[in-house]
Amino acid sequence: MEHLNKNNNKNNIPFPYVYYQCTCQVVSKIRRDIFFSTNQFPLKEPVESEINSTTISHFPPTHFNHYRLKSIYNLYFCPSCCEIHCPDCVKNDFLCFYCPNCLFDVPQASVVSEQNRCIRNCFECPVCFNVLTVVSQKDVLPTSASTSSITDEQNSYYLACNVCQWKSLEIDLSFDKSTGLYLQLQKKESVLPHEVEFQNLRNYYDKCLRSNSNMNSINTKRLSALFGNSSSLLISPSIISHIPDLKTKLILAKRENNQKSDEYNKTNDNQDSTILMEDELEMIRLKNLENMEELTSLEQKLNQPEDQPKFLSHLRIHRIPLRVKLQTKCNKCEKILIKQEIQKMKKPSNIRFAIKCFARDYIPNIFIQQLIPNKPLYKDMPVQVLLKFVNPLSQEIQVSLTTLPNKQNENENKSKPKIDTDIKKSAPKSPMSPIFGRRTSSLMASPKARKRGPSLKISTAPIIPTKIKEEQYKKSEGVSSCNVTVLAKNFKIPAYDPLKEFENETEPTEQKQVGIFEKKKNSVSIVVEVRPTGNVNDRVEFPILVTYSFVNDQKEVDNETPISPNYAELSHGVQKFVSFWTVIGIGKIVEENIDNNKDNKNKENKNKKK
Amino acid sequence: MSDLSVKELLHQTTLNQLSNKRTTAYGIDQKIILDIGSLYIKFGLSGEASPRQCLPNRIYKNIENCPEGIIVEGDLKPLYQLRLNPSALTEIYERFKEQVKLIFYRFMMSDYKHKRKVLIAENLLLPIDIKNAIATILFEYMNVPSIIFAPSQLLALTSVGKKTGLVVDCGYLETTVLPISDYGCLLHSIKTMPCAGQDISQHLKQLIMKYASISFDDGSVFPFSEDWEKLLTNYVIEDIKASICFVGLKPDPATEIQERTKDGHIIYRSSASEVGYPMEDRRLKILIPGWVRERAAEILFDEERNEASIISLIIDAIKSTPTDLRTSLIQNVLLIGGTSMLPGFSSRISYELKEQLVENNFEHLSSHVKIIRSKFPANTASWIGGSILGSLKYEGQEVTLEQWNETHKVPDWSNYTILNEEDENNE
Ligand SMILES: [Zn+2]
Ligand SMILES: [Zn+2]
Ligand SMILES: [Zn+2]
Ligand SMILES: [Zn+2]
Repeated sequence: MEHLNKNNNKNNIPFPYVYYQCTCQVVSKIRRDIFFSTNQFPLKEPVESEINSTTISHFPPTHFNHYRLKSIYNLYFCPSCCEIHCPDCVKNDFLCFYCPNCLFDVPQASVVSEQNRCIRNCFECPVCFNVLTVVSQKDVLPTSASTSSITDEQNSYYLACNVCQWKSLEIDLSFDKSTGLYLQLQKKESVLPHEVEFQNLRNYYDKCLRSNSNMNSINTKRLSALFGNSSSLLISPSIISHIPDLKTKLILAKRENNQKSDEYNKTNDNQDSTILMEDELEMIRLKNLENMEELTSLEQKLNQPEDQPKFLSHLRIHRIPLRVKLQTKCNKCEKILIKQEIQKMKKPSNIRFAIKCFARDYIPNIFIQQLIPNKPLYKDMPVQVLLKFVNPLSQEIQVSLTTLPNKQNENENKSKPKIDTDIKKSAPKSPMSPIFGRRTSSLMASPKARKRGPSLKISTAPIIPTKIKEEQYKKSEGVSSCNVTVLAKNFKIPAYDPLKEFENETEPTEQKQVGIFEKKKNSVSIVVEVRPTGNVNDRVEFPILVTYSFVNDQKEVDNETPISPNYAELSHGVQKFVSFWTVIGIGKIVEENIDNNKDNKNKENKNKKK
Repeated sequence: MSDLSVKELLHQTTLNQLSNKRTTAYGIDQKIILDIGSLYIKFGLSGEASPRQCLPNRIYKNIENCPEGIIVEGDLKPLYQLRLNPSALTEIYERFKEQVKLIFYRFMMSDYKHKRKVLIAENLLLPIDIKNAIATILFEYMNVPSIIFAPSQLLALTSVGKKTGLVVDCGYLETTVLPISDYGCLLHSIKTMPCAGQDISQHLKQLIMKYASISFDDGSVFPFSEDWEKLLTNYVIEDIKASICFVGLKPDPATEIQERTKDGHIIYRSSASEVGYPMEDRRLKILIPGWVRERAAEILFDEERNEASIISLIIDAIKSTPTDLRTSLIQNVLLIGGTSMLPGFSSRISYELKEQLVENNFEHLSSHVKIIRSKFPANTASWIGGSILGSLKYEGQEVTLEQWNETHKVPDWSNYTILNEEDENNE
């Protein structure tokens, strides 16, 4: 099964899609490159602090799968660092602990001491895991003669499940009072055999370790070295031969064995026969089993890990596990990105947030609006992709787009690398204009030049990995098997204005820019020409670097969170650049065929995909 | 709730907090103890008498996407296999990452501020790549202050208070026999075969598909056909195995073997009853023949099939140990791992081991065979040992976060594969 997945594993996002590369991918790529050139591992933090729109531009995504790329709906945006974050590069901590049944808050100190379970009258049905309710025996009995004879003092209570009708009476459990059930339960359960055994063992080993430190005996040494020793042993089987002479060890051990005072529990000598008897009895019981009515399910066993009973009659009542509310912070500046409302709910259906910094509210949202013509993709048949950029901000943003250099004809490819000069001309002010020029030229430089001395210092200049995958882009030809042309490399998107939300569309009066398909309110649709160049079944997907800039017009930024290194840049009136890579996937190349077969083929292909 | 009970409650909480202090009286902060199996992850805090949970390995969603509770869906799915291909590693890495977040945030309620050390009960044969992945995730995502690796068999032996014994670990992926003498693992005597719970499950599934039938609530009965295969999810197979399968005594070839099929199955005769496994809200039952229940695990004892059996592993292990150690080993056979919890397993090992020791000219050992009786379930033995030792003071080596940050090396971190897996995938 694993082998089958192998091919899908690499690039696996279903078409069509627009996915985003999170900042942490860039961080790990930089760390990897540094590791390759220096054989030393850089820490996360210094690398993270070097992230800016220039460094990001040097690290386009190379693998288009769910592990590397995320949908915009799974991303956060830290407004103080101006960076995209994903669930892997945030810190979670606890807002509150509460019981999902009684909704009481539990302070953290008692969360630990109470094993993360509710100490009020909240119990879980051991059969179906719903909530148990307290039932008075008196109420249940038929109202005839017998009830009146039961006085309040004789009355007893039990727990019952309204869902599966299980009663605690089935495990012989009833209570004298209807309150303080947990206390009553604790009193009844105080002597569980495994807990007694555990305490004995702990005391025994504690004694061993203490006496060892005094006596310096070989056992205790080995016991305390237990962790270290063993882990170094398992590295390779060859190391086994390095174990010091066993015989001498054993002689020492034997001598110690003579002073048997340190044995644990040597009294139960008949244990073999006991265990075999129990085991055989259980085996015979199962052998003659008639039905499964009395047996527990796997889930029920796992819910009681201390003894994992086979029979329903051995189930025990457990208190309801507490739940936790999390808050999610930026791992760089600790600004709170997600904070749920403290208000608790029994059902996790509708979640409200007190703070939310989802990427979709901060960065341009990109959609594939249309493919023209909307037909299957053939090799060398250009299609136009209408990409719609929506600005969620209340400021106008300036967007500039960059694509990877296109694959050239065989001949041109051998000549010197192409520098995407268009970018230079069209966006001279953009902070990352000569990116590919620099990166490609460094890749193509002579081997000598590449063998740079190790340097841990990270500069904003492109990082030059020594063990370069020179093949990287050649390889990725098979991956992004297409030539991409973006005509409108720079454009502005008007601010999002909630007041205009329901206004009718007014025809824009301004002159149309080349490559722009339409402008509506806070969105701009551009034309991207894509010419598939790969083979049949190759995936047509390509990265685009999006850089947007805006001038912060908010006079005040909330001060509740620590100030980030980039905070100063955000002050009023300063232009801020934010960059991220997206990958756009439009489909697979299909086989070109005689016209009337085309549609059938197309259907077939679609079916195959499913 | 009346005032009285609230008071009582508060009192009880204080008591518990006091007793909790008692458990940390040795001045050791509680550690998180992890036993990472292929099918279950057992986790909990040191000093506690049982793991908090045996979490089945499935595909878990991002915890960020289910902020309130834990959304569990999908079938059981082993986290890893013994043989790894590089692309599988990425998936293991991502799955383990989500599960670790789930365990730390949702179940243990322990975040990076708690700075709890982690003790891992380590399978000695765990591929180094997986070990690396585990360390990377714990250090890089959970910022744990240190990780301690301890061999699971040794931990298991401490859960019964022994220092010498023969630990037979029959888990999900493999069966391992390791002699331990005075807390020292005799690694050169380790014997292993890649046949354990997973193989029983596969075998059980095949037997059910061939020999079981389905009865509907209207009374009709059909032989099991391939159309019904989708009913037999991993969970259902594990459930059937854990609830109604058992290990019978060694089958008598003359009377209990009915037929050897061409594809290598053996059909047995058995006096065990047929049992109906209810499904689909009891609208149907899978009728499982008694002999299938009794003999599904027979492959563990089938030397011809695997070129080894659990018994031959034990004897081989014994043979490779010094003679003066053998008696004390055979007197302390400890069975661990979920598969060894099948009813009849211990008896079968005991009887068959005695028998085969005689056949192998070890008569003198045969009479000494003793299976150690543990008060803890066999699949939590290693966890318990970790919990005991993790709550006491040790000077054992550990990999600290500082060491990690300097070298990114777990004991032997020679191949840096995790952050680097893109390159490997290309090949
Ligand atoms: Zn991220
Ligand atoms: Zn409660
Ligand atoms: Zn119930
Ligand atoms: Zn931040």
